Amino acid sequence: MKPWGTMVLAAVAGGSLALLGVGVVLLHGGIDARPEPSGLEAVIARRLRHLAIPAEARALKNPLPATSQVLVDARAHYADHCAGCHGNDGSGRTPLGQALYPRAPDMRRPETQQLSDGELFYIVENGVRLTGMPAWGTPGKEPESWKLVHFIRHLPTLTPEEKLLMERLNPRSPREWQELEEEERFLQGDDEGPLAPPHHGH
Amino acid sequence: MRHILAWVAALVVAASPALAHEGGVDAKGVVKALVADRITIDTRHGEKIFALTPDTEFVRGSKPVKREDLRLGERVVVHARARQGALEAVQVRAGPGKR
Repeated sequence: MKPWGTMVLAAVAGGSLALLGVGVVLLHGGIDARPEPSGLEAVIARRLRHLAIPAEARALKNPLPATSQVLVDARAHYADHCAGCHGNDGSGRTPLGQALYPRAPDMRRPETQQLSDGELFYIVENGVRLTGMPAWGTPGKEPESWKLVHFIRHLPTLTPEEKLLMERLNPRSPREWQELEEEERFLQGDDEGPLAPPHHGH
Repeated sequence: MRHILAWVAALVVAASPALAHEGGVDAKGVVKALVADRITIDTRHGEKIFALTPDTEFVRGSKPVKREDLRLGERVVVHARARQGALEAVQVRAGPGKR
């Protein structure tokens, strides 16, 4: 066989082996979403995400000023649409966020805070494939996403008072609303009966 | 909009087995004992003990308060999660109640 033929064969074989190796590493746990992604997987995924966002999109600056009204609007929007996975405080410590693969990130940390305005906007608008992050973008509603970018920047300094305000805006099932009302009545001392039994929340 | 709803529905369905075993526990009762790392409350079905952590939130009405602001004998609702065989309080809500 000619030398170049050997080289092509070696390259194909090497590439196949590398792909197989990556596949084995990534899929050795089957499709189980419970394990934490490996460090290698996280690094590759972050790098691919970075490369997948067009340079011009990454370079965009937030066109809206971070006024108090913008933050109030974004806080309500976030509490309703985002907190189910990301948590009101952005920690990602919610049953949904911790059940995803990869986990919902702690957006207060530098890995998120160091993303550019454009990257955050792009991710909110377009989602991230093979993760739980949906594409929220709707034509004509871009300002809503830019407001969220401001709120994501605000997460590291979110106050306990703001968190409590957000709890009132989180989506709830009819049963959860009923439980909340029962709790309020109990705390107000309105129920005259014996103390309610403990409730197992599932 | 339909896509958004489909995504949310898919996420909820996908996560439901994990949620089902998440181990959330809510309890209503009156404060019987309160120390730095645990709260004991009397409920209809007896005494329940919850571990307190640095992340446990204390709320009175709609305002955040400190652990020291809770009083023995007052009504509270404890939202907790099961962790390593113990119940860990995520949030302790208090109200004026009737004491």
